[in-house]
Amino acid sequence: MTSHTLETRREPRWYRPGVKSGYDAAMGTSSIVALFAIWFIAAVFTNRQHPGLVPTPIDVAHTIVNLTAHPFGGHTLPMHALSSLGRWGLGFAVAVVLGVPLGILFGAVPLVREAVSPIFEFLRYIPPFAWIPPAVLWLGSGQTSQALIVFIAAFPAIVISTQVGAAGVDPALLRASRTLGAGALRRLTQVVTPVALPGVFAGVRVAASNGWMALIAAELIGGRVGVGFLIQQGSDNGAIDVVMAGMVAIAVTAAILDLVVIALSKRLTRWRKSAA
Amino acid sequence: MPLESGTQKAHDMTDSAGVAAAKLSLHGVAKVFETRRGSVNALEPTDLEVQESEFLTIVGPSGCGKSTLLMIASGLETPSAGTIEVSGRPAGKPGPDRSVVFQQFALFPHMSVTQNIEYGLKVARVKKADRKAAVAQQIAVMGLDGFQKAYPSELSGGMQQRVAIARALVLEPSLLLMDEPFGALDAQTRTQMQDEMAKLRTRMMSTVLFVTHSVEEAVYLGTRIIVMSARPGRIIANIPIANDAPWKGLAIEAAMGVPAFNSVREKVWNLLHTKVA
Repeated sequence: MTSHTLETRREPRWYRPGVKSGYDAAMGTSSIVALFAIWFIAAVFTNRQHPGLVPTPIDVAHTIVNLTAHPFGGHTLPMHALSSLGRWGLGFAVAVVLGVPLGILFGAVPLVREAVSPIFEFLRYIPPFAWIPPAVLWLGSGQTSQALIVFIAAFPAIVISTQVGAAGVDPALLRASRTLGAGALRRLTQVVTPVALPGVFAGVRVAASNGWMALIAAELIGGRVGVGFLIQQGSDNGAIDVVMAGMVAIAVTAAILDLVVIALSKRLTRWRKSAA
Repeated sequence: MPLESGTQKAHDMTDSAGVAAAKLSLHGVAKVFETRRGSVNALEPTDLEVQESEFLTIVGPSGCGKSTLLMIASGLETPSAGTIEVSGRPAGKPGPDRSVVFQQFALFPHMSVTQNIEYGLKVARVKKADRKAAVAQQIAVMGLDGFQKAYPSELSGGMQQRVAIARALVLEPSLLLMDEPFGALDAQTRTQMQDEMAKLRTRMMSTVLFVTHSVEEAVYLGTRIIVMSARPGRIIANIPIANDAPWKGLAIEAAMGVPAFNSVREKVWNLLHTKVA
């Protein structure tokens, strides 16, 4: 084989990194349909040997409808989901409100980063789940301790991504704004922060799902209401269809949260080339 | 000097310092950069005075300290030695009295064309109506009409630099500092911008310090040319250009056909090339 044929050999047609196929919506839909089909077939086969062990998607859909009308574990499924969302929102909002300014300071002011980041690096390797027992012990198994778990799970991703975004802001922009008369505070709030927003949102997206997952875990361990608590109740009562209905509700809620974050991100970073 | 109004003409000379003070004076200004391999003499102690309404071009090879000199004049860079005065008073922090146009444009990517131009006026707390009028005027002068709402990422390099120039000019700076402003543009756009700069120049009458590595650009635009050499960076020649030089008022392509232009160009060229260390 000559080198000429080597050079002119083309990549296979399906290998196009970073390019959309043009069928993305169709591909996404068909893979979800395939997932449900596999689930359905697997459920039918296992039920021949062990009846009631794996409910079919149709059983779970029935259960979801049922749980929407009739309370289980004290509340209906939508109420459990809303209750979880409320605590997630509280912990997540605090993480954003504290995390974004801290990340901006870390990124833009080396002194602050050098002073605070050792403590931060030390604490962030403690998994959020490890905080559940002390949080329950100190704050009880209510709203506050679970929101605290969400905060602990969400905070590091926001701070770190914001810091990376802020540190990556072109220094020429800061020089330009200085020559236009802007002081340090204005440079941070009107130049560094908005220009770092794509990085901030990368972190916010990860933080949203980290916080949601940690919350469900906290509700499984000690809760009175919420989707995690619903799953725990289903498990205690041997109602596997309730457990799986809760799991579906968790996934659907997380997907909706992610879509909201993406939509917000697109709206606030319209100026980016990719968005143009 | 505080900015009082966005619509005033640029050539107000009501300066309390009186007649004699130069617009910009650098006395014994030097810059030494400390690196791990030792100290680098970027700029030898240098004296430079820029008079009111001069268009001073500084030309030299890379590493001659011309950009360092300009950054020191702007206040963005602190000199290792020497003093800087603007209109006879010690120059402090960078500010809107000394607007800078950068080679890489440095437009705010998250702001529209209008918002970029308006930024300095907002910082200076100019009233909204005055801001709008001043921005509209710059949009018209710089040929940016129709692009008011565009983001920098949607503009060509030439258009981006027009926005950057408008952003600097709208503040009516007593001193406009331009650091190789057309160096990042393609050849065609560069020629066009040079022509427009020459026309703009006759209208605005503000004092300009313009750094470039292009001999043609320096001769074409300047009312005085400073030639610098590298290692160590220092001034080696000071060439005044008569106000009625025969190429003034011509486009740069036409100017390059004028014998007097070419003789100055050759003179600068020879200065730059005989001084190679």
